[in-house]
Amino acid sequence: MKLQHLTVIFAIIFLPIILITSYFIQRQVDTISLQLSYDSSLLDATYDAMTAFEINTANEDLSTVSDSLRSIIDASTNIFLTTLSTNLGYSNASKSFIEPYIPAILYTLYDGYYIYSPSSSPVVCTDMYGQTVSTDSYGVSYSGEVNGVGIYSFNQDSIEYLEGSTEAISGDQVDFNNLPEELQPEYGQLLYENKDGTYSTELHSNGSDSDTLYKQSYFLKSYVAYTAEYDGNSNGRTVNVTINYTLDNFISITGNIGDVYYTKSGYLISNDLIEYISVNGTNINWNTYSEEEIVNLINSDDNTVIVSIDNGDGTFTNISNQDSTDMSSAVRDDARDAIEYYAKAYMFSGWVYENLSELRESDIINSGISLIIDDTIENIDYGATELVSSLIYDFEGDNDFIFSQTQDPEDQESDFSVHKRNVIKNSINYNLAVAMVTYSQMSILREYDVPVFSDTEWDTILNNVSIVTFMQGFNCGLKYYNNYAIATSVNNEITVTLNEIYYVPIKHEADAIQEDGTTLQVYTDITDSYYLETAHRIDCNELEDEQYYLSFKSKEIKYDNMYDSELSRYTYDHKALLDYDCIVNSNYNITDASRKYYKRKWNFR
Amino acid sequence: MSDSLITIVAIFLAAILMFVFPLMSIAERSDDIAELTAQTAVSEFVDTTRSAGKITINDYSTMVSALEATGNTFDIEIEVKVLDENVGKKSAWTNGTVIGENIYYSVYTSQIMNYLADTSGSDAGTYLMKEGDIISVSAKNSNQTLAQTIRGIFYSIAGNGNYQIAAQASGLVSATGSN
Repeated sequence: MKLQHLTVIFAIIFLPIILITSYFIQRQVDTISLQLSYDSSLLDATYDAMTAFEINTANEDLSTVSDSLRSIIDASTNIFLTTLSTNLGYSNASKSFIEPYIPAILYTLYDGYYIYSPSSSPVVCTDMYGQTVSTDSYGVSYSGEVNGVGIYSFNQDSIEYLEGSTEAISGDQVDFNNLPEELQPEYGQLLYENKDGTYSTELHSNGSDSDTLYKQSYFLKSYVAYTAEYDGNSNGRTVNVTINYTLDNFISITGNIGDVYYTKSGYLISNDLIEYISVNGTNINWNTYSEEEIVNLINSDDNTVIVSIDNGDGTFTNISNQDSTDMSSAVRDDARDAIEYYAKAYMFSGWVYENLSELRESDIINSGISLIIDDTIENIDYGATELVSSLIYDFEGDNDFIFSQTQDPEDQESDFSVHKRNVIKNSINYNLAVAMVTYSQMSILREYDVPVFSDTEWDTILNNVSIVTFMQGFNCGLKYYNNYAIATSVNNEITVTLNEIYYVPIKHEADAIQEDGTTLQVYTDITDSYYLETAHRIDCNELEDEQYYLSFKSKEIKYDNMYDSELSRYTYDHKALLDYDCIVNSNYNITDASRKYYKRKWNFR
Repeated sequence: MSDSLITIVAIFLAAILMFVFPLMSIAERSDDIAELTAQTAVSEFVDTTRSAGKITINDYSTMVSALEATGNTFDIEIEVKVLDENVGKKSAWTNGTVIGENIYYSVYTSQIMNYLADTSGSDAGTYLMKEGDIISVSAKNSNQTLAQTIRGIFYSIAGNGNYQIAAQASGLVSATGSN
């Protein structure tokens, strides 16, 4: 064979191979770049949703009221869908086009979460004015019975309305006496549409054409709190309580302990954080005063309440409700908030440790979740039960005390924090899985997938108010797109994290000797002046030597939130750059373990 | 004599046309794919870190191993622009002067790597960022890829910064990280 022949054969064999391989590789390349562009669109839309949420909460006085919050979240989902469709190249009117690709949007808030997801619901029969139609309305006629279900038809044209009104005055009508006896109870009931265009009062599914028609619609489901129910024994009494957790150390406890029904809520603090609380020189116990009494004492000018906080390194910080100059760590009037926080937390925590310190993690009632799994998901052929049970943390065998007296509940590693996180994760995982299953029922063509969050992602979700959006099913080159995006918020009205509080030290300028011989310490008044001062973030070394601070939240700057809405003015109005050391060099490092306690000292709530 | 010369020339030409050019185009192609992989890895890294508010040694290693899977070596540059927020506020009732201009300080790869390499304490292997910071990451190959070598036979490009695969991603940090 000649060389030319070999060449031709070579070309004939290899050219197609090269062509096909390069086509395939090109498709792969396209897939990946398309996926990247979807990823960034999704992330951007999620950020936009979060920004909308932040702006709306910052400018809405009632943003913590659930109804108001609902509308804010509705607005935020709208922003998300609009931005996403715009980013993907559809016009922003295509919300309904995008929606089927969004299995769920999760909003984790301070004490619970919302899930925006599709649900199937029956279609209710309505007339041309949108008024619901029932079997006794005009326009309805009876057309028979299938499998014991009455079938009706509705004829809009037969209805005559009162002029200038939406009230129907004549038209076809079902004669009660002509109905078979077993269908007479249906008279007067609401009509639902069937697949074949007829109507029935009963929701039914027999595999026939006249089955009830279900329509997929998206809505924000009810607020789910981070709760768990417990049934156990503690300190010699039976305990049957529901505990509502939050992102921080605030908890609410409702239920029976022994024979008494309690409803309590407050901040849980470590048993040894407070050295003592004294009222007019006498140390008090957690149960000496009621919460109301102590608040009154703190806010009166005649009583001196001092809270002594253990800094953890053998030193103590005393804060007083009076502006006393003889105390080493005295704070001004605005410290009353801090004292109130500590006093209330002390009393609440005392109560918790007294009554619930022997409540174990395994006392949690899991059956609530597993029962629902049995009832609603087991029959659905998507391997859902298996999936849900693999996502749910099993507390059985965890015999640690939830409210252990020897641990600090604010420590992320404490049994309380770990348990709280598991409770919240269980709840979110379960409800997300349910939302995904509902979603997948509606899009039979595609396999659904519940993404499993990594630990870092859980940390992000459980430390801040955040939005998690899911998107799947988009045609993405050689595969279907399936991903999620997380956006967290630090500038909202609902929570404040320590890192988002800025501190401006108020400097001690001079001691003035007053006429009566007493010494008055003079501090720079920065609330009134246009005074240039450096602001610091928590844990900055610079803060250690100063005694007085003005603290404010970052959201007040970012969204220009008014400090004092009654007077319509800002109480803080001057320049302050953040300290270079505390933003760049320290990387907010806590090098010294004892300074962890330092954080709390100024943590006014 | 002249026939054999032409045959030899023809064989050379044929060899170049049939082997070297396809090889070159496949090598270029493979670099394109490597670039896409690098771009994906870098974007993912930036997206993860900016939504978590922190750079962890795990995220970094994930990116590095994804980059190395392309068979090339990379120079990775990370720059974080730390926002020094001017926390002054605008006033509605004094004057219209806007106060509150922000300053950024840059922190570069070697400084960040120091944090990542630190294995002690609760913040081991973590560099924290805050909301408003800007992170940008770029990766460029530091070896000679096959395409570069072949191209070098025909024509050479002199000078530094002679890279074939480059990926760059940046973004605004959206969360304040904590340990």
